[in-house]
Amino acid sequence: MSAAKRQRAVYDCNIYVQALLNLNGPAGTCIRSALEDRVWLFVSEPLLSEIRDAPNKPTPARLGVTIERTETLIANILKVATVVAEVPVVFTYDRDPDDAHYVNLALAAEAKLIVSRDRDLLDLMDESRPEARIFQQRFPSLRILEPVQFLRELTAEKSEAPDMHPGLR
Amino acid sequence: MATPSQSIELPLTLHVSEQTKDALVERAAASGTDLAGYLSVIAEQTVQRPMSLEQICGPVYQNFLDSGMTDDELSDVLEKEKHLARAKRRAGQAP
Repeated sequence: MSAAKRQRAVYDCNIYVQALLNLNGPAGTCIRSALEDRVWLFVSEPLLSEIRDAPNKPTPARLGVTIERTETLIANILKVATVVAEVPVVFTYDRDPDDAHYVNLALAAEAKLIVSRDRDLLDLMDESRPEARIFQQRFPSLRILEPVQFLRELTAEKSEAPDMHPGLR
Repeated sequence: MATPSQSIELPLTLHVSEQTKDALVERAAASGTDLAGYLSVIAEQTVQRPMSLEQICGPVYQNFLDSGMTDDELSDVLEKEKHLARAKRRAGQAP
């Protein structure tokens, strides 16, 4: 798929870790979509270092996620992803300061999507919350989706216009 | 990867720190080539097709299946552990 047609997205570090553990779950499908060039992923050093931390966490370690396997995942992700070296701090988030980096990375990459199962991030899309309304006013084109929602959109897009010129639809 | 007969010349100037240059020269020497040859190999590897997720995961998926955990349960526990690690790191950074 050409770069222009691919969705530009930022995945939460746990999408990568969950894909390593359950390759047939929604997170696995998200990663597969990137490895197969259907999604244009953007990453940064802080994001990669959160992925690298997986073998130090109890559940991934218990289920066999090793440093080598994590590095293999990262090496392969780097074949399809773009590393954003400079991520300006445009947004800060008291509820979880580390989550702000994902928003800032998406903004720096001009990605319109963040895929995550992190409640702190997902709540920024909940219009019943005042902080979410402010967030959406500031960044109207940015959306934060759960993997299942994201995959639904990706599938719909593909069946709607698979690599077709708009005039030919 | 391109064979020497298929390769083209790509003149460019890199902007790296002195430490990075030294480390690259050392790695190039260790792999028995010069800096240009070493960086050419890295460039070729970078755009090679990635491995499949099955190859990347290896036996880990079977371990997950054997654990009896659902995908939702896995997600919850990974989120909990991520936030614990972040909190620990922040506490370590606090003055």
